[in-house]
This record gives sequence, C-alpha cells and structure tokens, in this order.
Amino acid sequence: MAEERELTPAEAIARYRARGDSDWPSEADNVRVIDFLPDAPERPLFRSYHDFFAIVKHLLPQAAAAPDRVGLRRVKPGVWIGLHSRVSPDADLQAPCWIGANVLVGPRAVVGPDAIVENGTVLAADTEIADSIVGPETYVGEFTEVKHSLAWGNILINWQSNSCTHVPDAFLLSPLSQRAAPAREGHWLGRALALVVLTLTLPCACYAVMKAWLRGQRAWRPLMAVRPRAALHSADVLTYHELTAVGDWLKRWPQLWKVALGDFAWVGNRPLSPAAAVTLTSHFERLWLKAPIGLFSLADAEACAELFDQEARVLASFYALRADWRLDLTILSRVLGLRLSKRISFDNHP
Amino acid sequence: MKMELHGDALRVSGGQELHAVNAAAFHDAVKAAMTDAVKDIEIDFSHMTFLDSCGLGTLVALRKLVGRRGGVVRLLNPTPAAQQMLELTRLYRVLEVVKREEVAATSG
Repeated sequence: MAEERELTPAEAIARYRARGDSDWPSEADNVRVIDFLPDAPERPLFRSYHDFFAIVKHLLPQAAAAPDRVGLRRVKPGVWIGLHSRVSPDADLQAPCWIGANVLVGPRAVVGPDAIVENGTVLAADTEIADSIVGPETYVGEFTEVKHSLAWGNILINWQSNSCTHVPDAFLLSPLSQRAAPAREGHWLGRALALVVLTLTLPCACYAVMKAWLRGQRAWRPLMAVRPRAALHSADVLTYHELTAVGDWLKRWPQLWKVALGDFAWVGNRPLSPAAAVTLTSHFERLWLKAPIGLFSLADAEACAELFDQEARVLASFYALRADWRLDLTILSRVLGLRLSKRISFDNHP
Repeated sequence: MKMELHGDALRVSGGQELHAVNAAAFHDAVKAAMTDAVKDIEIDFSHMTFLDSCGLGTLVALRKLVGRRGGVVRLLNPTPAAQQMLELTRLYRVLEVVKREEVAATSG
C-alpha cells in the first residue's frame, strides 16, 4: 500500500475500513502509529533529531547483541566493527562506537565516543566523528569534524540545534552512490545559434586568416582535448582548432563549429589536453571532466588570467557540480559584459 | 554589501552568499576597503545562507592578511548553516566566531 504521506489514524480508518474488510477489529484504538521501536515505546523516534539520536544510541548495545548479525566483532568493550570493514591501525576508536560493514576508516581518524558509522561509508584520514551518526555510503572528507550531527550523503543535520545544511563540496561530505551530473548533449537551439554566429562572424575569421597569411604563419593550429567523462590515460580525445594570428576570444572562432556539431557546448569547462588532464590529482579536481566542454567557462566569466591554474580548477569543479541553465546564462552574460567593457576601455584609451 | 569602520575594525555586512563565483570579488572588495588603521575584520554572518569551500578559503586568506597586523577575522552571528560549515571544516578554531548574545554584550 503506497501512500504519498503518512496517514493519521482517523484517515487510515476512513480509507481502509471503507473497503469492507470483514475482519476489521472493533476496538476504538484499532489503528496505532508505530513511531517507536518495539523495545522502547516511551521514546518516540521522530519527535526531534535529538530524540532520534538518543534512541539509536540507547539501542546500540542491544543491536550489537542481536544473534542474526554475521561477522560483527567487538574489538574492545563498547566498540563494534562489521564485516569487511577496514580500520587504519592509526585510527582511534573510542567507546561506545559502532562501525558497520564495508566501512573504511582512514589514518588518524578519531571515531567516538557515541559514534555510529553505517555500512559502506568512507572516513578519510584525520576525520573526527563523535556524538553523531554517519549514514550509509557516505564519504566524509579529510580533516573534517562531524560532531552532534547526522551526516547522510551531503546532508548535515545538527541534532542539538536542529539545523540542516547541504554541503556543496563533495570532498568534504558526499554520498558515495551519487554520480556527478552527466554531460549534457548540446541543445539543437544552441547548435543552430552557433551556426548563425559562425556565419555572421565569418569576416572576422577571414581577417584572422589574412593576418596569419601576411605573417607567413599557419592560420590555425590543432589542439587535442580529452572528452568529458573519459577515463584518464584513455585515448578518448577529440581535436579542435584555434586561430593563431588573433588573441582574446576570437581565436576560439573555429570552436563554434564544434558547438554546431554538438562536441562543445556554449557553456561548460574549457577543453583539457591529455597532458593537463593527468595532472588533475584529486577526485574534486577530476570533476572538471564531468561537465561538457564549453566555448565559454566560469573561469572566463571570472576573468581568470590562466585557464588552468588553481582558481580555474576550483571553478571548473564548481561548475561541474552546480551547472544549470541559470548559471549558464549568468556566465554568458558576464562573458559578454567583460567583452563589452574591454572594448569600451580600449576605445577610451588615449 | 556594506563596509564601515568601527575603530580599528572593518565591519562587513549584507552578504548572503560566499562561494566560488563571488569569493574573489569579495576578497578584493574587503582588501580595497582596508586602510592602514584596520586591524580586525568583522563580517556579519547573520544572513549567510550559502557558504562553500571557496568562500571559506577567502575567509582564511583574509585571516592571513590581518594576521600580519596582529588582527583577527571575526564572524558575527553566523547562521546555523554557516556555523555547521565552520564546524565541519574546523575553521571555527582559526576564525573567531561571535554569537548573538556575545555581540549584544560587547556592544551594550
């Protein structure tokens, strides 16, 4: 019986008794809300986060003593570790604490007292967990501190203050089951617009080609980029071009054709060469490759001088996590604004 | 965003978000507003609804900046969400966090 929300006892009676069940009990309180665990009816589970944590903590020894738990071992009084979990020898487990199955506890992590770490969770090095529950399949990043909290995926709830926040940075706290947003295919409207812009700006490209020809150099040069979502060290690359005799953004003119083909998007992360891609060392930095390749990027909108420095890497990861049409529009408008302001300052130059 | 001088402290107020997109601009604006007399930076966090690692990095950069002058970065009345981020990243140990009642006590 699927319900969109929990029914009150009166609603439940009205809905299900009308079906004419012959064996419906006759007692006045024949529908009861089971919002407590069988052994603790005096402790409601969902009255507050504080109460939820209190009841879970209270039931910890009983849960550990349950006969149907396979592979659970008590490594010292008040400290239980589940099947296939790996705890660094440098980690400090302080009783009472519960570590579920398939958990990784990194070096120098301090877990407990009153810490419950659910199955499949990863606690990176130097984390501190106390008076908290870390939900299943959650990544808790290096040097983080989770205290008086329920950490579930990227949701962090402080059970003392009843405050809830979504942690935006995956390297701090994130669900392990979540995948970064898939690269979006270029919308047909954007691709058609690229063809229009390509046609309208053709004279600019002709100027660039002529300039290169007069200088005796090649008009454009080929470059390689790792395709988004490609594994590092893989050969899944594409070739794109830029004009050589012009600077600024006009050199990206040939990439409009890539936008028209759907290989690039109007907004995304700038293309990365295979050599540059392998220098992305952390999981956070590798988010760069989770977003589509863009003609313009957040780093452009922020007027970053270097498109592969630390700031640009952070912006690329941010974009991969938070990209939506509003952010795309903001980036495009800021890029256009920067372009116009540069032109004005150039025109006003003595 | 509003900035005003209170003795040797630069008080910044009106910010609601501090993240990758505006962190650099925020840093530059605060730095530009700092005179030689400024020792501490006080940032009103009572309306801070969104704070990410870039925003936190900016606060640390400002902390380093005033640290050279012997000053501190003081976060006033952080929202619960901002407070959680400061605790998660342990930055409450580096930055001075002043809660509402403490602010009232010092200003009264």
